[in-house]
Amino acid sequence: MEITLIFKIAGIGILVAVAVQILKQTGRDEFGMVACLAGLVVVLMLTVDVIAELLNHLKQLFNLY
Amino acid sequence: MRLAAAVLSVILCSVAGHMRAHKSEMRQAAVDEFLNDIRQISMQIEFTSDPICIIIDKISKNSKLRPMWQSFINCLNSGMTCTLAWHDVSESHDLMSVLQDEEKDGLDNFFSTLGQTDKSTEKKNAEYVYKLLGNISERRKTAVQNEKKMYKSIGILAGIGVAIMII
Repeated sequence: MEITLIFKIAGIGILVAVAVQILKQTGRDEFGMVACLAGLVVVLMLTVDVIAELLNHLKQLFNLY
Repeated sequence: MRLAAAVLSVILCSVAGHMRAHKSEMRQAAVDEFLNDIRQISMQIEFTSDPICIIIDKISKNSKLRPMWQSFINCLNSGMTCTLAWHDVSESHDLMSVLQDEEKDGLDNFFSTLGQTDKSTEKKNAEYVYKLLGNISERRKTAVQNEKKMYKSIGILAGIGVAIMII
């Protein structure tokens, strides 16, 4: 796993936090929720390969199906 | 290459945010201009006996909405009623697209009575539209500032987010 993935996730987390705060201050809480969900989806998209690799390793390690 | 794409995405998203912020500002500016012009129309109706064409021509000389008023006068001179002329102008001018339904309805009501009723009714309608636009302008003064900051900030943040994804 590359270290850049961690930095990307951290960067997206910080941006989402700042965006949510800005949207809350202007009274658009629902858009803040949308921004949170969007950030979550982006991070999941970034990590789906890594999670798949983890599951493959577990499958090989425990000789599962 | 990736760096260039990231920088370009930041710039594009920031520009998009600035453009959206500018649209909010334009709406406020349009409402203020209409407020000023409606006030002048009302005063002209009350204190003069000039026809509508002459009144609109007088106020258009010092108005930032001059092109729109000129189109309105041209429609009136071609024989249209005020209602049809206003409908024609509001469909064809880009400025009207920044106004929302509340403002458009008020202006539609005002122009539908011009030249159709007596002077006192026209004056009352002008006062009503003036107060309506005045309330909208007051309500939106602080909201516009917040909206501008929000759209600019969100534009820049979105650009940085896309840049992070690219890099």
